[in-house]
Amino acid sequence: MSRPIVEVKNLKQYFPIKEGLFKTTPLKAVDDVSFYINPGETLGLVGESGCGKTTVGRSLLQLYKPTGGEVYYDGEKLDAKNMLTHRKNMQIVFQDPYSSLNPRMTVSDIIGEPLDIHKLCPTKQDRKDKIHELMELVGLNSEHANRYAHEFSGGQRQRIGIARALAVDPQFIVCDEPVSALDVSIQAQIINTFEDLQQKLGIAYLFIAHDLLVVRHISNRIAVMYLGRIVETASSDEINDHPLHPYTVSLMSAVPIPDPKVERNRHRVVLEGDVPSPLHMPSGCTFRTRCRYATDKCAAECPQLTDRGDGHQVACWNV
Amino acid sequence: MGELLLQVKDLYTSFFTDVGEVKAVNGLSFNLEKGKVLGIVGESGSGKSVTAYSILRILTEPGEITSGQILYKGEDIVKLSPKEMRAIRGGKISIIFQDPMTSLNPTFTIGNQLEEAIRLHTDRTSKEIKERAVEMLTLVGVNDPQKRVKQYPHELSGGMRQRVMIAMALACEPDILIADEPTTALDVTIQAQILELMQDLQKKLGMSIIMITHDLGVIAGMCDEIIVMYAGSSCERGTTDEIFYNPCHEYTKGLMRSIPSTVGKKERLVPISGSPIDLLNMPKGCPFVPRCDEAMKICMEEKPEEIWINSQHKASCWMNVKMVYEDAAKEGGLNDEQTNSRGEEPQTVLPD
Repeated sequence: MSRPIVEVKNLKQYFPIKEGLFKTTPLKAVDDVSFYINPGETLGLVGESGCGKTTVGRSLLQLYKPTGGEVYYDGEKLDAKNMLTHRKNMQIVFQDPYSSLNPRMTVSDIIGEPLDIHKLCPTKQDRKDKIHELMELVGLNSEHANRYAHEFSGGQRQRIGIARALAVDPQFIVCDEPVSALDVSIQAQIINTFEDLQQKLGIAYLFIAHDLLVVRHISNRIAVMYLGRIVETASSDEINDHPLHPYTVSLMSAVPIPDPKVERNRHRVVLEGDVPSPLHMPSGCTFRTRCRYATDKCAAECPQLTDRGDGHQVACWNV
Repeated sequence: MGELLLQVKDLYTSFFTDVGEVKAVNGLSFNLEKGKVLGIVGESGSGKSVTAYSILRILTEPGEITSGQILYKGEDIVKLSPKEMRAIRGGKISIIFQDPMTSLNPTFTIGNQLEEAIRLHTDRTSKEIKERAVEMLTLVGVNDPQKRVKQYPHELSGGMRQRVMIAMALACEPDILIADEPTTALDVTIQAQILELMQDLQKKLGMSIIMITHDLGVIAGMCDEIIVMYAGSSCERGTTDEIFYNPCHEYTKGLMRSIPSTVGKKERLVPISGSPIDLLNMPKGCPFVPRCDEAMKICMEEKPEEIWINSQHKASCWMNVKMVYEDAAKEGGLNDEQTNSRGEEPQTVLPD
């Protein structure tokens, strides 16, 4: 098998939160997360808000300084020094197409900025041609290069964000909820754009989203996160057909399915209660407060991801 | 057929902005029967929320109902005075808003806000009102209600706040509950809790619900009837099964193709091309024309009328009219009976 393009080992990201005058408590946003992504592959990362999905994406790109753990790009360990060169290979598309584009820059400046930083276009004509090529690639009209972001619709803005990420020919893109802010009909256009680009350019994606239908559609493999930890990972069909972790099971069954007959005959596993505060996490398995199968062992010790065959990994004492 | 609670007839609502008149609701008509759940689905800007605000008459400046009737139990509430409307709003028809984070007042306790809703619409004593508030919180599944009434909104999670909103909306036992994207701001496991709660309460209290959402999954699970809205008017309406399994408007078909399938092989999505319509520059004919793959000449020139597909299903698309003529042509000309069977309104309102 080929070497993974991105590998994350025991990534930890704690944020110090002040409690009172002298006391600080670490907020464990990401706690001991490991995964890998092969070239040209899409790994979907799902979970509820606050589970640390976005933080994983950002720590991976060293946008935050990780508290612990290592990130490897193509076998090379990332640190503050070599990150600048690797930024050319690793890019990100943000969730909100409204706030992630500078309103005072024209589209050609937005897409051109990474080209300037990495000095990829020696002449002005090169730069202009490259910008036009990128705009056409993501389905924008290159005649609109001198417009400002506010002149575009949400879907078009997201395309500008994608063009900006593609400008430096990356091999890997973190897609941080890139379609959540878009309407259904536009969402499908952007998903298709992502898929086309992957086929054409062989880019690997870390696709972060909370919409399980979308993630299942676009991903080869899926990792499910709960309170800073990955609780289950497997191929997307396997997760969909045979989820093992009780959290994944209830997450899958909570997704409303757009088919009235299926909906009527469905048995829902509705989770009780809310997600605990990440500042005061339960001992042992973090899911045990909402889990129907929780035992004493779950409270005492945190289960690690173990392989159940075919790369299907689960962190649970009871399955 | 159940009792007709609400009839919206040819409703037009506009916002008179500096750049021109924005026709947010553009000739919408529908009926709501007692005990039914009606879903209104559409993309952002299609006029779903404005429809809800028009029914409750909580439109803000420069919004205005320009014409049409909203009949609540036969009485036109568009013509009511603000005082008469206040008795209906919250008492007979109430609403849950999308964002539970911003729709509760942060400076009052939960109990305070709940009791206010009850006090305005009943003649109970203050002790009874307090009891009712606790009873409502218990009904919507808020744990430890005695303690919660003394808490402020920021002390509650999103799901809990939405439960409080539901308790407030249902405190006066309304006939109609309008739920404006009640779960959009919530996580999927919390969404499942809230939807289950709404379904339980609907069965228990027998009210009607107007469920506004952009999520076809939510609609599929909850609603008896559906209206698909585009550019302020209904492009298709009918029973849930008819809309999902026999969509007759190109927009509805496009929406169905845009959602990733849940079973089987992953097929490439077929999105609707283009972007949503600019309400300031509405085309002359069908509003969906610029994005429609099947557009014909007539679509650009004339707005399609709503025609009956069958007794449970209406759509506004010229394709369906074309099909009637094609069918007729095959059988050797169009006779009166056929125009009646598909072109004109049968003498029923959408039945169960």
